[in-house]
Amino acid sequence: MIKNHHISIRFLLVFLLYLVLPVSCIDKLDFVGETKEGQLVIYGLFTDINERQVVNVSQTTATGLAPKGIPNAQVYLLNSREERVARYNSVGNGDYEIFGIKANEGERYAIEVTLGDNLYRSKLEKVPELQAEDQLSFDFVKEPFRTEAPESVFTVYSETMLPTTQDPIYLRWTVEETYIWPLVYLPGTGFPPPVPPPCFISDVIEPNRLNLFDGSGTSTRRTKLVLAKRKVDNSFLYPFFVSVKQLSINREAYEYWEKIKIVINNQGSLFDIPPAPVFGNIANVEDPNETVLGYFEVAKTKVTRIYTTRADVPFYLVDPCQFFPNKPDDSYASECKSCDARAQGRRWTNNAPDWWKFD
Amino acid sequence: MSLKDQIFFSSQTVGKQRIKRNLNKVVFCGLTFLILAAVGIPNLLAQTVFTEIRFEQQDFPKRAQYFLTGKVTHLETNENLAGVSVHIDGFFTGNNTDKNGQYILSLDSGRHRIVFRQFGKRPVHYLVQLYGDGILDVGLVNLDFELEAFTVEADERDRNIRSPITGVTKMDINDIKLVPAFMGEPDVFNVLQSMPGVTSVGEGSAGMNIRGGQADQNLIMMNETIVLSNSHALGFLSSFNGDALQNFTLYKGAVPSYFGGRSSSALNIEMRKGDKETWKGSGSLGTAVNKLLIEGPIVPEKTSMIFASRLSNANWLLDRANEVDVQNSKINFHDIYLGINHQFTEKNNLDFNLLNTGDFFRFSNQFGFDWNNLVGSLTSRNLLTDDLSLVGMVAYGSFNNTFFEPSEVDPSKIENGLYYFQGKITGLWTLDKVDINFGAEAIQYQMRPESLIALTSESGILPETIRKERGMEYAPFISADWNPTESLSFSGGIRYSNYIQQGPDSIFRYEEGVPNTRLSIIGVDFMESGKVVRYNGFEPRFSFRWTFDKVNSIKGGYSVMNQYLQTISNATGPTPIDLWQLSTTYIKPQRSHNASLGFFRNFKEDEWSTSLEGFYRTTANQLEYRDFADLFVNPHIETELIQGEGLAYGAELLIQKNSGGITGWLAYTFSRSLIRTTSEFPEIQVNQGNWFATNFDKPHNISLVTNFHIGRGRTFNTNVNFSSGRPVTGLSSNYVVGGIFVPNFGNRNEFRIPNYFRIDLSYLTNGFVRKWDDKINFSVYNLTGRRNAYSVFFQREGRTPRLVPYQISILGSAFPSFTYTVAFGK
Repeated sequence: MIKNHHISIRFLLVFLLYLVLPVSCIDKLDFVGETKEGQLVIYGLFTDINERQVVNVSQTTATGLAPKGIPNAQVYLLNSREERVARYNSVGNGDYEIFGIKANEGERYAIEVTLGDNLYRSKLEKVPELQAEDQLSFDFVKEPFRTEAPESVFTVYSETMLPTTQDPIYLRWTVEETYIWPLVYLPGTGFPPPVPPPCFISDVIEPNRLNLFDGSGTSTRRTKLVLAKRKVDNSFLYPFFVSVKQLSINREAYEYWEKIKIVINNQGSLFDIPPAPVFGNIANVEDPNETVLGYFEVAKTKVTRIYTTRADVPFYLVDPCQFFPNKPDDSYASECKSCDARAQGRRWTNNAPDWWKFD
Repeated sequence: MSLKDQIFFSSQTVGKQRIKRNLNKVVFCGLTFLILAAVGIPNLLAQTVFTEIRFEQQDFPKRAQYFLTGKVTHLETNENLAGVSVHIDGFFTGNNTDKNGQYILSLDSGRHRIVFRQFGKRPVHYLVQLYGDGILDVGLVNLDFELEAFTVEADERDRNIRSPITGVTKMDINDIKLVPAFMGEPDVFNVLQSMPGVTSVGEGSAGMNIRGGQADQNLIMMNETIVLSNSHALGFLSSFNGDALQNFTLYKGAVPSYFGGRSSSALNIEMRKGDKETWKGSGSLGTAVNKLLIEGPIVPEKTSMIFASRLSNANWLLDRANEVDVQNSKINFHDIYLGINHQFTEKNNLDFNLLNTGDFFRFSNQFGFDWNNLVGSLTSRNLLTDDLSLVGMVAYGSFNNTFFEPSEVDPSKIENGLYYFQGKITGLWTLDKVDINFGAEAIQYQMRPESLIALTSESGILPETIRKERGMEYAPFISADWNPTESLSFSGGIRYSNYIQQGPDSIFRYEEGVPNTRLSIIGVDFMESGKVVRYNGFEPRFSFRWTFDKVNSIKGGYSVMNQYLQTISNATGPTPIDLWQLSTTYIKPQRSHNASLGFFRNFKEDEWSTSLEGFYRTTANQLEYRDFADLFVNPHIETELIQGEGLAYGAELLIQKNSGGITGWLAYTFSRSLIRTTSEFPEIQVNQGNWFATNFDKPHNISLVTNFHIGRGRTFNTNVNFSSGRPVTGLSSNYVVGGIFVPNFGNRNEFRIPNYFRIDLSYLTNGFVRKWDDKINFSVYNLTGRRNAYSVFFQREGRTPRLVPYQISILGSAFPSFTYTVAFGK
């Protein structure tokens, strides 16, 4: 008979070996999919307000990299009879735009894109007739934002009143910030030296936040939504405007954006809807099997603005461009002397927008 | 004159007894035994002792056959032991001792290895030289007195050779307890996933995938009653309390014709009957689960009951997590089992079984689930004649589910569920060489209306309710097991399944020439009652066994199975709340063809069992969801689904060590599970209609279960699991729409997550108090804390738009648990 304690010692040896084994089995995740390049992406938004109407045409590139704009396409706006009513002008980087044309409520529009021998056309999309009222507000709080640690966060809210009609309404909001950034006044030529014009820098707040609301399955007529959040920084030293563009879209467009929201918010959890390619309403006329990404949407649009000043900010802000008479010119940061340097790729202008009015 | 009287009494153990010590030096297959060899640990296995006896006949002419008879008793109590199996030359002969402990055998003259076995008793081995009729009385002792040896199986060890059906896995609770499990709970599903051919999508997903089948293609039963909701804690545990469990049988090859309704496999879990003589029970306190068991005679010798309950207490573990969301989460579950058995006569008895399970899970303030399940059955077992028995069963099942979202703009919940009535009558007619099973089964399903309801009074959700289907499935069946010779057996049967979807129902009409979508609806027909649609089909079942040279056998099987009830889900994996969906006008029933072939060989007096099996299955009308399917509160669910062909094939290797100081098994499975959608409309085809891997396709699976029997009831157990990473849908490219960086996902299930690896261990020992019958179970699940990927998601790195892949692990650390159990009454 084998003694129990002998067995135990041997068991222990076997067990220790078990412990050693998995060390080499633990791997880091190394998962990169095969990249598909060259898929066509067309996105256009046509609204009922006087603004720059834009279509973007691009191609996908390697995983993780931004798509590449296609500047040599011909882009047309079509009416409900599928007649060309306007041609978009290429402004580079795959962007095409038209001015002076806006959508009419209840009308149907499409776009047509010619690229080499291929003709792409979107479905006709009807401009919705309903619109909601947004009442904006904001706050500054300390809370976890991009990290677990509390940060100073600026949050924009909308208290939205839906029309009392029972007709379905589908809403999407985009939120853009515009702030003024005065350049430091340094001695120069001229008498007196001209004051450098301030920069008006604009950017979308939280571009990957999709604000959607489906008003079709609810009796709620007034709802309060968080539309955007951003970290508080020295952009709030001077007046800071938030422009909220409410897009009333049709059901198909809403479903498209809902799918986009699913794929960008997928966290891989058990209960997540598995991701899938999102197909829009644009197709190759000759070859319907070709995958065309993107969407052409029409929207009834309303822009609402709110602004904040330094007096509203409960946090201490440092002005990096404060002028000191004895400070050498070259010791000022480049963002104090150049709008381009401050904007860091964001849109900017020296001219105040026509709505730049505050008390 | 009784047979016993005819036996000529030979000399009292004429031959001399000789004890032969036969040390087993077999190296356990697989990793453990390579390790053992490497560290030079020989002779670890326990010894098998043969007692040699010779019976001789002096005065009569020699005969070809002689009788061997005797009585088996308990060595300490002298109690006659009924049901002791007698194995001759490595085979279970079908002979068991009767209620008086008597047995009688007719054997060829010559030398035979005879083993007497009963679970919980130490087997006794004899080497009998039979040259005359003889009497051999045998005494067995409890295994408690056996310190270094253990016999794994409650069932016969050579069953894998003798059983006529391929692809059968059978195990009892004592074996189940030896496999380390999550929360230290002995669990059927956990054990099954360490057996060949059984996998799951991953931790935290309900259900099992058996031989490449979907989770809903398994018929899961408790005492032959269908149990639709059968897991706790998002799938970590099954709903069947190990304390009340007797054994389980999984048919993954040729499923007998008396089981049907699913297209892949059948799993029947037998629950224990209460003790008819004394009241006893046990209570367990654990780090995650508390349990109570009470059983005993309501009417001594006539009526017994067993009550077993489990209640989770895992929330304190969540409180200690680092994540705020996890701290704010909550998980509760319970199950209650009640079994009452009444014996009218020796030939007639009645069983009542009731299982109630409930789960509540809330993730932070974001979403949650609440589901409960009730299954009750009444079974009458009647022996009409010595050759004919009838079993009748009626059952009721109910499943309710709530999915709630408390934090959205309009807090809401969705409620759905179903209930069903099941009736089954089965006859068994036993002839000389043929056993005939016959009967019929019927199930009436009624889906509960699905409702969208406001969760709070402030919520503006407009309540919505849709009516769901009802249907009836019924099937007569017959099968015969024919054993023409010792070495050959055939089992054949047929089931004729019928399904009728009954009104009321709204049948949507769709535009022709385009896919069925929400937008292609052109009308709706309402049917208040009567037949909406009907499907039926013959389901032939066949299997054979050919045993040559007594330790080798070849078995094969073929079966056709129809399925009229399936789950639909578009979650990453199967979840406990997946919607059950009956076949309708647009959702055709699944129909599978299953073929399997296996080679089985035992070694060393059945101490080792090995098998190699291959399988191949095709399934018509397998369900798949369309991209971004909207399944809840959808009156035209067919617009979100697509059907296709399923294909599964593979091979399974099992090497099992049944007795000795170390027991366990090594299982390797190669398995593929593929699907292709077969719509005539390319725009709704998944992956362009090409074959693609299902999300549970894991080609390679290895599991090694090792039980070290240290003695005095102590065991140290390990469970090592490896499997290929499962398919996921991955990122193909990126693009920008409206300033939003959007990941463009590739074909469904095109990529794979990293391989899965996990080690569990458990140590079972006696408790602290000598006078009590107390036990301790210490176990560690995922000992190495390996963060096994469950799925992959893509997230921006910092402030750049670049998307990088991240893996998510359901259980990313070691999970220790401790359970203390005290048994009372004996």
